[in-house]
Amino acid sequence: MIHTAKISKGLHRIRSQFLVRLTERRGKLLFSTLEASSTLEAREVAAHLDIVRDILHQIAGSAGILGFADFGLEARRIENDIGTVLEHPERAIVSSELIEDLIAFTKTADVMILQG
Amino acid sequence: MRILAVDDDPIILELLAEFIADIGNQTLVTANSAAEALSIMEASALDPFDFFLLDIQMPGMNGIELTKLIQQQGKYRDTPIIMLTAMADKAYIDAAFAAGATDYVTKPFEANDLRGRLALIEMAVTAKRGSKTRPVALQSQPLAFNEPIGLNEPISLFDVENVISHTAMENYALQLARGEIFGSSTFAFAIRDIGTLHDDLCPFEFHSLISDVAEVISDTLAGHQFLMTYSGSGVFVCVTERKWAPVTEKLMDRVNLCLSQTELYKNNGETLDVRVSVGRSVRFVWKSGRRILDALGEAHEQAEQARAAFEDHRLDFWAVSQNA
Repeated sequence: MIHTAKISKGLHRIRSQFLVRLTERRGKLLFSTLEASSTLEAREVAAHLDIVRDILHQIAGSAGILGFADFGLEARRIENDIGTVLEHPERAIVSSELIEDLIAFTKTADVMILQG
Repeated sequence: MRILAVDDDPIILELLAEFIADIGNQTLVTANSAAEALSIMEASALDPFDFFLLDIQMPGMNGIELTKLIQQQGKYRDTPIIMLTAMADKAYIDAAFAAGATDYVTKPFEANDLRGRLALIEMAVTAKRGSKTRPVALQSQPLAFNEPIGLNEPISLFDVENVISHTAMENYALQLARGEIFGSSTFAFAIRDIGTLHDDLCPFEFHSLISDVAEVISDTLAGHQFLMTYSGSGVFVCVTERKWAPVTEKLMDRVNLCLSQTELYKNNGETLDVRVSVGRSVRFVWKSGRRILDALGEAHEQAEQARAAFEDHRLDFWAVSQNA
């Protein structure tokens, strides 16, 4: 029981750190999404999407452990969708579905950050 | 036990620190990039690490490239490496094992799963420290080649493409059981007259022979996605990708042709005429980890039976010739 309590306390602390980082990551996600959607140059689109994918990858790796399983799964799903786009960086475009998914994702992040 | 964990996500490093602190008696050092990890290892030359936890996907140098660099350092050649991966893609997993990973954990990981794996590694590391020879759990081959090598001992081979340790192969197969293993297959090659060769050769010569044959088999299978391990008794067990249904007899002919063209010698200059037999391919059709391990064992056994059948047939041939 002592061990369980210790772990829970530790996880609670890391969970708080995750949410603090999420504020920063959310901002970068939105910025890179907007950048990707405001250019027609495929290589530039790919570079911005690469940043988005890295951020989603990090979120997907730890969200589930910290009690945000659905959020982590959604991050993984969008990460995989971007991975498909980046298989051909010379033809990379941002679909409206992808933008909608990313905006919905950042809204979920907002709620999580607000709820703490 | 000293552990070096490398991940570009500080949250993951925090989580590892939390879980590992709970196990006790561990010292965790963390790095957020491969470059930082290499610097830490250089600075810790006098106090080396007992095992590594490496994220596969990192900006800059990834975990697979880092694994190769770690294993190039003699003292870390057979140090256990657990890869942390969010990538369920089989190609990533295969590349991690081929690079020398002992096992892998998928992110997000379960605390109990991680603890279980760390406990196994700790047992192996403790056994390694307490034993003059290396522990079976690590399946290491003595670096001092004057120590005898048992005929049945699964020795680790280094620097042969796609060849991994026996432990890593078992972990690989068990991990595949969680994913898409259906349709993959396993088969094995067995060096003929291995008993005689083992008796005749010194440990260094025997190790060199095993390594050379592994290289020939690996070269022959090049172009296909496969992993191979030496499981003792002159037997090499291969696991192949789903898309490939190997015709093992043809492969055996190609390996034997290549062996006939390879100059293998004893230390005294005497030529070694080495050939292999091959067992029938065993297809993975289950999801159960235990049965997948059984399939690896069955492939090993099939190769031993093929070798025995060849040797019996050769004896029969001589007996008939003498009667005639």
